[in-house]
Amino acid sequence: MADILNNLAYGFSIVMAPMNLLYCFLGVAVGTLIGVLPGLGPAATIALLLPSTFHIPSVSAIIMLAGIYYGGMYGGSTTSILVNIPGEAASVVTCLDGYQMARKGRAGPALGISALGSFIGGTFSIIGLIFLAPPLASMALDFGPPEYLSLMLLGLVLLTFLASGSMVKALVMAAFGFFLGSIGLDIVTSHARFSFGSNTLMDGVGLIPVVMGLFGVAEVIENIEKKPDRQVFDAKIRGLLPNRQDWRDSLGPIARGSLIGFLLGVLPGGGVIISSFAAYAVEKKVSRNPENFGKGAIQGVAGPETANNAATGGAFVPLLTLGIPPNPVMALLLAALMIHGVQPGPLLIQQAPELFWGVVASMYVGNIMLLVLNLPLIGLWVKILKIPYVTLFPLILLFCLIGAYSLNSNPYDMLTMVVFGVIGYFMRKYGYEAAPLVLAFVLGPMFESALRQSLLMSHGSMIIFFERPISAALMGTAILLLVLPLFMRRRPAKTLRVQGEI
Amino acid sequence: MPFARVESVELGSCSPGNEEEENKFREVKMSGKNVQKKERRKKAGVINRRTAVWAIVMVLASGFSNFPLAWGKDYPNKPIQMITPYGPGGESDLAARALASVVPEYLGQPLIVINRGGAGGALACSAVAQAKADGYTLLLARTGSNAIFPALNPKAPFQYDAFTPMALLQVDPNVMAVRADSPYKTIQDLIQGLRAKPGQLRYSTSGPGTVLNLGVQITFKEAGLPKTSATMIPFDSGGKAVTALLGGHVDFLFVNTPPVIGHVMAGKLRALAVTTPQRLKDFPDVPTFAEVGFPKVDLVGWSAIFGPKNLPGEVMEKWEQALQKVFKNPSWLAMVENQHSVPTYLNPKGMKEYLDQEYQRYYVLGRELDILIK
Repeated sequence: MADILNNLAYGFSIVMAPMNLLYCFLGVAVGTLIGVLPGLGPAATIALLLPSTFHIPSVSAIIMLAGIYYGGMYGGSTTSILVNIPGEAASVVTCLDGYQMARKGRAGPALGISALGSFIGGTFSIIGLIFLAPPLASMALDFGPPEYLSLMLLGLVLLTFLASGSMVKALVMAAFGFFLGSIGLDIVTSHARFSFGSNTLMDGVGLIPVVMGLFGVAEVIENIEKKPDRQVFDAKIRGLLPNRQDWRDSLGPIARGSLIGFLLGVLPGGGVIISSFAAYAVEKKVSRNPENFGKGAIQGVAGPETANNAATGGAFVPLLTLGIPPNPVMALLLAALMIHGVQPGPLLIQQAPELFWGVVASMYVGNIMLLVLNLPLIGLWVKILKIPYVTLFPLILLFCLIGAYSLNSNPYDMLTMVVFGVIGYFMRKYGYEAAPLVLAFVLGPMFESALRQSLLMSHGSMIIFFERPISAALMGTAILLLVLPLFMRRRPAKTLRVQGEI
Repeated sequence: MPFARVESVELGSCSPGNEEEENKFREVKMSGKNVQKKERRKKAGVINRRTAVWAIVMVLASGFSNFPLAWGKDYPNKPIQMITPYGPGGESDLAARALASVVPEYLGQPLIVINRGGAGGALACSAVAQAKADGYTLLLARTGSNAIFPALNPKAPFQYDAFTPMALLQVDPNVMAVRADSPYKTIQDLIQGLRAKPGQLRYSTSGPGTVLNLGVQITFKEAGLPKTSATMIPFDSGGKAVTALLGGHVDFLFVNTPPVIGHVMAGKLRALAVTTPQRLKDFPDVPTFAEVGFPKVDLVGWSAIFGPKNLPGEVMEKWEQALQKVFKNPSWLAMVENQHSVPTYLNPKGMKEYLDQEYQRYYVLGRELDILIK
């Protein structure tokens, strides 16, 4: 324990050097900006800035690049709340309740609780990183294909909790999401599925263009048609910060979100998107008023936003302790470490302690900087809502198009976004929700890969999922969650309301 | 100082009778100001004409951003684009960016790296194959995208020889690895283990058409083992394949060196053999495949510079001269070493021969093993 405190002190002494403080600030500021711009993500930015870090010391470079990553998670919620466009794939869930809060004139508290929740989640994950990193990392290695399958099954069960309207329609959307996820190359045989000979479709449909289309573009189309009542936005925004009631409501979600986010972030492939969906579903499940979700419940913003920031901290665990990048952005950081001559791997903490402890301390400083940066900006962001929609919506569309193109310099991504915008518009008209589609789109391919990998490993036997302890535990939980509602009819009236028309 | 003239008064906002007072008020206000300031008439919601004209001019001007900055001079007289077939952070991206950080000094223009990942590299390759052959659009070619993909894919959107090979830059060795606590200490041990337990052992790959699978299959072929001696478990990426080995979910793996070096040094993984002609600096006690009796298992990843077909001689010469200096640049050599690559130069003719050999090898291997992408 004393060791750890010593090392932390050492880390802080490195971060407090003026140049490193400057790089940290630069990183988090750029990250926030990138997070706000829809489509453009931390991966592309880190790749762009990587060469400029070749000539600065490695600790400063990693401090800056890491700042871009977790800064991006702060910024992503801004556009989700203000204009229903997810700035990052992980911010999709924030659109569900955050945007509804904005429509009720509560954009300020939504942004505020999102910033504060992100800070708490981020700090929690740093503490987890410091104290729990090595044992957690080796536990993460024990997650093989059968464990992933059980986890994905649990995730799919959670999917059913996401629906706020008709359950049948939600399941139809989930099925559509599965279908979309299956487009691309088969993992075992590399045969192209549903690509119709197109090279772009061979890689599958991109998640970000789909999400930007379904949420952002569809919203714009709907607003143009409806000429919405924008008076709410123009009226004086009541209070820019969350009030005491908001805080009381959010404490639980923030606590649960931190834990869920950190644990899921540690898992390679688990990640930020799944953690935000999981936190939302959990909040909805444990809430006393689940019917408020989807209409502006602050728990629906606090939980997911905390979770996705905790997940970004968790993602550093496998990177720094094992040298395994759990997601593509971490792979870039791994490349940055290598280029700077630092050998990533289990020996990193011993061979380059100044790097490990310096980066950990910088994450703490960075989170504080982000809070200080984001809270005053809420007033500025809220003013954007006052721009007349005539001017606002072309700007929104323009940023979405640029964001979609910036992913892969591929114009077909823009086309995908527009197509899904139209699809999303019709979905809204007929009461089909987008959230189950997105979750199924993300989880479906992972579920299928895990299933086929597991069955290859076991030569076709299904017992493998129950033989291994972690998989058995997760599988058991999933089955329990599925079956339990049949036996518990605590509040029949509310249950029926949640199910909607069947 | 003369009073500024008031050019307009909003009649609607004044009540009658106050007009004169308003005028006087404005004159009084304006007398203190700089007379040069003109009062702009602006109606709410309509953009000022001047602003509109400037906006249009700016938009048109930005269309000229690709203009040569130096008229009439030789190549290169504007920035050069280098397209990588895979996304950021991978070997192709790192190789391109390392090159881009030193070659501008010798060419005189910046090298801009553009990642155009997708379709196994096909998107980037077909884009460059169809680009204008003026030397401003080049490709960072890799084994996977330029030799394996067209060889295993009869419907590829480009021909493997639709390019001008300009130079080979660096070579990435591959290695066969097992866990440190595995009973197999050498390649021969592994082969014996496979013979003893056919189909029981597992290996991870990132897909059937990747080097991770082809390397294992060619080892089986050389050792006289059938294709199904071990079960292939495919993952999404090389990194996930390595993680699977670390977690004990598979038994062995054939992969490029960077993801495993850290673990070998930490004693978690054991490297059995490497595919380069000489032993690697990173693993001095690991034999080469040639040393253990499998000289044909020499698959390596390579990074090369390709251009569209029929590049002008001037472009080729400039690059040859620049690359001579790049290969002596200590900062570039350090970066390549940090990537665990081996800097290797082949001139255009040599690279063309090497490409033909590689393509043939994978073409034949693909048909023998029946691993074609349909």
